[in-house]
Amino acid sequence: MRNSVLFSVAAHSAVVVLALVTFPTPEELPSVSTRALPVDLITIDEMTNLKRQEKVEKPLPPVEEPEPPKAIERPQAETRPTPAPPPPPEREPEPIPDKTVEKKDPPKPVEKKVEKPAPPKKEPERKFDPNQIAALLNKAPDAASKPQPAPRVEEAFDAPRTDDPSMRLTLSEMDAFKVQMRRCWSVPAGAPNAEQLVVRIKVYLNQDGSLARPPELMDRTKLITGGAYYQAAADSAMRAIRLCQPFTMPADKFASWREIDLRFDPREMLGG
Amino acid sequence: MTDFRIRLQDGRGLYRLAIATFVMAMACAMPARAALQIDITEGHVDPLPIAIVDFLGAADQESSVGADIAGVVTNNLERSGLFRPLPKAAFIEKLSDINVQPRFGDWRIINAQALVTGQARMESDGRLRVEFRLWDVYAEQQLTGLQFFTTPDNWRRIAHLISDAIYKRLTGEDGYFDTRVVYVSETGPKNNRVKRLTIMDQDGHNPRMLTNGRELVLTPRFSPNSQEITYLAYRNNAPRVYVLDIETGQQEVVGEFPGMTFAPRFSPDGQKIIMSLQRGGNADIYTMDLRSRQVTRLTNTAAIDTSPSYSPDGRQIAFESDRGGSQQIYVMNADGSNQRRISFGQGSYATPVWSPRGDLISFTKISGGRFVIGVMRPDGTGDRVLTEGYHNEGPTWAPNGRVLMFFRETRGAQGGPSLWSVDVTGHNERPAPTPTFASDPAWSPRIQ
Repeated sequence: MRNSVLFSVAAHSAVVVLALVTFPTPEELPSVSTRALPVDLITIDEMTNLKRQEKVEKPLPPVEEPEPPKAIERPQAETRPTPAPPPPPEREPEPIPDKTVEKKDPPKPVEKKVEKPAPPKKEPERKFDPNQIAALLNKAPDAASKPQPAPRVEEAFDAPRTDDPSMRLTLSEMDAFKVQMRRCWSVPAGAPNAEQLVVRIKVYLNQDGSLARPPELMDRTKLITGGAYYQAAADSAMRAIRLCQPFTMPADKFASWREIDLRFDPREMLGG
Repeated sequence: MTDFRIRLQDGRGLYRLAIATFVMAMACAMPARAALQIDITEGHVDPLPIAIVDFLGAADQESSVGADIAGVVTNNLERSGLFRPLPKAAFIEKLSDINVQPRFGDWRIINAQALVTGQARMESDGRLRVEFRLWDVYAEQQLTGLQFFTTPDNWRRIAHLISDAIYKRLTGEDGYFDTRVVYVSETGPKNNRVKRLTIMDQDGHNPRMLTNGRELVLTPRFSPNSQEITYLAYRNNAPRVYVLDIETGQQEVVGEFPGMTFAPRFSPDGQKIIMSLQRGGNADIYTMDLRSRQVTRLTNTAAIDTSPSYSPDGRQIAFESDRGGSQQIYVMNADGSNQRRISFGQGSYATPVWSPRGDLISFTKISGGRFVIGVMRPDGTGDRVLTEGYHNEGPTWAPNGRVLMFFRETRGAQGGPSLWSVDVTGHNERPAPTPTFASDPAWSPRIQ
């Protein structure tokens, strides 16, 4: 009996000790998960970055930001894999074999996000040397896959920068933009049914605030259904945009105002 | 070791796949969040800068007519208050062919947002051919272009039609420049005025007397869809309702009614005349069918009901009545049912006139000794003042429901009535020039 009781006490105390020891880790995890939240936001921005990168190649450096956070989470648990995670997102198809070799390099990219504008080109070359046999086997797929998929994936990761809340236009910056438009927009005053004259236009801007391409009227079917009043309202809005550009915008937040959906609503002006 | 590495790689592959899937999902689910959204709710109502080039012509006569047409178009657009024609001295590009695209940069420099070019040519058959193009200077594209053939002495009307086309394309509204105004011209001393019906182009040109001044004429009103007017004339102190075709000069007595008659006005289909007749000391509203001459009574109260005006769809009638103790505006169905008061502001409301667009009713309001011309919606909301002064009266709508004309009387022995126009927004109030004192304007529909 005693033995069994002692054994039971020892077993229970062991369980309690184990529980105490293990509890702290779960507490840390939640903090990690909170770090992961910004990663999600970054993915949302990927959309805008993708479009932007089609024109400019600069976005590459920021691309790596989103991945690092995720990579860091794993390393904490496993310790080793830390280097591996960052590369995979950048080059989905083939990076896997190369990663082993790259383990030394990846940690730097995580911390120095901005400094990696051209790494993608150099990395493929390095991969070949260390892996030798295994790498050779994988090389074939790399060459084929690199041209198209790789760059897009990278662009998507660039998006995270724009997700930074500090990159969003402040209310006063939005107001400054509206003031510019107010000077240029000649409201179609006196038209009936002002609520039907709301015009939506998509504007693409260059970094200097000029139009990157002609503004796009969004509800084009209204040109048919809305009649002459809508057409005149749409024309006045388009004219205002062309007349007003280049816009004065905060250059450091270019990512957030590269594309703007403008909604011209004359109701307040017409007292409608 | 190798096995372990392979497993890791597999794990990473899944990890990347998960990320890729997530990215794709976000891309599909939230495309709208990609772009910044900004609402523009404020602009300005300044007139649109427009450059109107003298219409080109080969011969002297052609270029002379071309310059005259451009002058009339310029004047029309400027008076509308919605456009600011730029001075010709500022023009940089000298056009020599309207079929060649202008150098838009030259027009942007002088801040023109729209550009009108045109030319006039005499055809071999003696007709005048006038063509014009309207350009959007910033979009660098043609907005509209038309050509007209007419007799050379009809160039002024062509200029009005071109003005209408430009106005419509840039504002969305039908133009009102190819229209005329009938008014009562007043001459002679204030206590013995001679009143004649007079017609002119809406810009004041081509005035022409329609009556000889031997009768007292009042309240001319246009038919909404033809060039006929109805008016009231007193001969031997007996009021008669006339219909006059201003194209043919044919005049017809519609009816001679016992007692006083007021404010005849056409129905929207031109088939009926609505007016108020005084019988037994109280005035009520009646309609008379122009073909059958059948008279129908619509109101039957002990109060004075007068100044009826149909809605453009002919289903409702606005009128003034003092049945509530003071003059107010009421609306009823075309058969006289469902009579209800719509004006509830301070002062007394009179002479409601329904807009041809149907969205507003204009009125005259007397409040605190001031005469106000204002508008309200047919349900009585949105009551606002367009102009006020010592004596303003008789609002009449341009056919596009955008501009009102009325007459304003000045004080004193030398004072008299004159015509004014004001935009429905209350902006752009300006006089309409007439050679004599003028009152009781009536704006024609567009000339067919």
